[in-house]
Amino acid sequence: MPASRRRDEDPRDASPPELGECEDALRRREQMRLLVDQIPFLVWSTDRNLYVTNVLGRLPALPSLEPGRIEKHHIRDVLACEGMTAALGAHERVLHTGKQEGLRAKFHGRCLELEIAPFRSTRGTIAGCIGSAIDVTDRFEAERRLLASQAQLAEAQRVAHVGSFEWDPLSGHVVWSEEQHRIHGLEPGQFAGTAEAVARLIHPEDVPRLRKIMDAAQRERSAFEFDYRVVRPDGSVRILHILGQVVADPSGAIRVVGSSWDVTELREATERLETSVSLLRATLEATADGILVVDTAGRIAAYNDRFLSLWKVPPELAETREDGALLDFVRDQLLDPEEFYGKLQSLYAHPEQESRDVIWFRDGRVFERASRPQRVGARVVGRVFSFHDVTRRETLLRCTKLIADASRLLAALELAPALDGVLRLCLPQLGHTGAVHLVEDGHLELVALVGCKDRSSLPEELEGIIARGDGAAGIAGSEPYLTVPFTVQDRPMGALSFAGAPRHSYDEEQRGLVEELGRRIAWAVDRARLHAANEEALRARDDLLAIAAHEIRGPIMSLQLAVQGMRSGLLPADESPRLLEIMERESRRLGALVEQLLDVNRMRSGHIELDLGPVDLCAVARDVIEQHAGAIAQSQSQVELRAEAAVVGWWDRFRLGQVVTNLLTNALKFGRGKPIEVAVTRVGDEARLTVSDRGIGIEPEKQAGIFEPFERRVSARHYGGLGLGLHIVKSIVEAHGGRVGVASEPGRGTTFSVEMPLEHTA
Amino acid sequence: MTEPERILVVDDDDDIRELLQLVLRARGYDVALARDGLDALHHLATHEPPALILLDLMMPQLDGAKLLEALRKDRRLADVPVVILSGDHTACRMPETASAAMCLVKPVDLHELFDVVQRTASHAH
Repeated sequence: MPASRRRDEDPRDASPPELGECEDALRRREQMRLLVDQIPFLVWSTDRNLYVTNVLGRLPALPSLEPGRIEKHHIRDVLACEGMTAALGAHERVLHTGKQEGLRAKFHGRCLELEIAPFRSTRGTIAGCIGSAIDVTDRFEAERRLLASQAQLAEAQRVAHVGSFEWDPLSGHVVWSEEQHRIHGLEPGQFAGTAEAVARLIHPEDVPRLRKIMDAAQRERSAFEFDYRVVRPDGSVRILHILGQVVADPSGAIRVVGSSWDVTELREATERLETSVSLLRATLEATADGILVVDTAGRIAAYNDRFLSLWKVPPELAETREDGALLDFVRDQLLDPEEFYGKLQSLYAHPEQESRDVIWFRDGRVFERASRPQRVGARVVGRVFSFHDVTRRETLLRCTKLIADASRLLAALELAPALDGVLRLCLPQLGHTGAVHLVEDGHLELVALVGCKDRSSLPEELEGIIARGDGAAGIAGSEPYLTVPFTVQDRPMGALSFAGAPRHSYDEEQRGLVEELGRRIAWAVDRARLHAANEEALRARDDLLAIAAHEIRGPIMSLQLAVQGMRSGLLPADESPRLLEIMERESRRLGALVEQLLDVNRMRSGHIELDLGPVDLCAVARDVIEQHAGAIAQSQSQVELRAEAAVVGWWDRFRLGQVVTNLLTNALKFGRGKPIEVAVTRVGDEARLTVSDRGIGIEPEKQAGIFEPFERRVSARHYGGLGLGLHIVKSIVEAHGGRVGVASEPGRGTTFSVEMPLEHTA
Repeated sequence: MTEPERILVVDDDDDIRELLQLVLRARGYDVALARDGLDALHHLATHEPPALILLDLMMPQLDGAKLLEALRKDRRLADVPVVILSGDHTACRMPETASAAMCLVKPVDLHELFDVVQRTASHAH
């Protein structure tokens, strides 16, 4: 049996026993073909002229490359397609070089991988080509898509600055994405790809912590997320955030995978934000103002402790964040709640508005309130209120105004209405009752009273406390009181008192205010008194002048009558001596009157200068009596001097002469010619002078005023020239430290007495 | 010959009394003197009413005003004219002195005095 058959021998020419073998071979070939037909694989052979001789297999996507269609065709025609010129070239090259070539080419939209190999004959010469093609379109597509998505990922990572990594703990091998490199400050390719290389980049302080977390994650096969710092090659420190997962594959091998991104700016921004918030909070708490922020929905967004303490709000209430509840709570504190709420309504209705106003409280607190809208961008999201306690300022203002108003009232000369007005100004600020006491005769007298239930006097207890004259404050009859004495140049003038302070006791500020008012009242009272004294002095001087003028008319009348009488020739010549005597006497009288006038004026202004020396009062009395011998004779009174031995003292001789003279002339004038007794005695260390007459006497009610310089009620001119003689006596005696006295009975007589210390002590 | 008219001079000033007496006598009047109101009343009670009373107002023991009042009350003396000699302008305007015939303010000019006395003294007799 021939074992081999030549390819150009027709199998149908074989002998019948060879038919079975042929049938087997055919079947095997058919089976082969079926098998091959399943594989998307095409094999062809060409002859030396590149005509396709045999084709095996098929490419399902390219039906045009079926065996039936391409056998016996030139390869050029088979591969007639753009992109296949390379394949054609490969065939030709293989024929010539005998070297196998592989290439990829596109054929009608499919991607084919071609292998072209030389087909050698048995002699070893190149008889043609064998080519094979596989349709790798899908694979190619998949590869392309993979590359594309890999590129996309890289691009996404680059844009997001997010890097990814994969680490095999066992081998220590680490794979980084491109962006992971950049995040660490490296260029792709610069990373060594080991865990040690990674560790070298981490900030030394963070390494232990990182290790701990990674170990725990690996143990527990868990996820992890944390921040750590890296030091880039250029020395800069960045903060990275890492998010990762420990993954185990079925065999139990674990991989650590994850991503990182640079959060340095984010952390810095967060820190800045935290710093800002902490600064804001610190500022809020440090400010002396109370701050309240309310959003447009009426919820409290923020407030500080000062706000709570200013408005006396319990923290729990503020924490409810309900603005409405807060408003209800503070209602009772306000002096005018309606006005307050009205303003608030208006502010909420006009969110853009800024405001500044003042809030008054029942208990005397005063706040200044400012508010502005709170904006985010251009949008108003709430309102910020700030409250500043201006109680002190307002209190001071009110005090200042009170003092100014009081001073204005006290400028009037009429004291009583002024004091009444001042007290009214002070109520109810300083209480419900006010009183002014003034010092009269050494004790305090109630002069003005306002507000007391009993209109005319203060409660006894309070009156008693005030009368002590010391400043005091406390409780009397369950009412708080304050009494403050006032003085002028250390002279007690009076006291200003109040009861019923609005805040149940009088504080330092109120005391200060009352002291100041007291000072001003003292000045006003002093001024009023000085004014009155001045007016009195002016009146007295007017009186003095009037009386002087009146009294001087007497002597002038006498002089005029005498002169005119003489000149008229009416009077006989022998009357002349008498007339001249009268004239001389009256002239002297006139002179004496003028002297007295001046004396009195000097004495009234306190200018008595005593020319002191040893003086015997008995001798003075004797001399005066002698000087007035003429007048005595004329009066027909007998004057008896009763004087013991000398009574010597340290006195002003001239002035004592005036004293004796004035008393004597008084006695002569009113003695009615009855005997007059002048007595000088020594009593202890005093000298005593008495001048007694038995004349007309002095009515009891006039006795008291007799030594005073003219009172209008009494015609003081009765006694002695200007009626001042006795006043002069009193002034001189008192200047010597002595006293004068009078004892008299109308119709019986009068005794004037003078007592003076021998040694001048006044 | 008619009796000289009597003038009663009432003044507490000794010298004025004496001088008035001198000049009025030189003028031909009869002059009686009183040193105060009481003194005057005493004289008036014991003598015929004078033709004129020259009266100083301010005197102790019943001053001029009170004397005037007393005179008005006495029917016998009510018609006696009174000329007031006062050191005080305002005295003349006081209601108490309204009943006086004239009011002169010291010091009085001599001739004016004579003039007033002559005109005022009642020439009843």
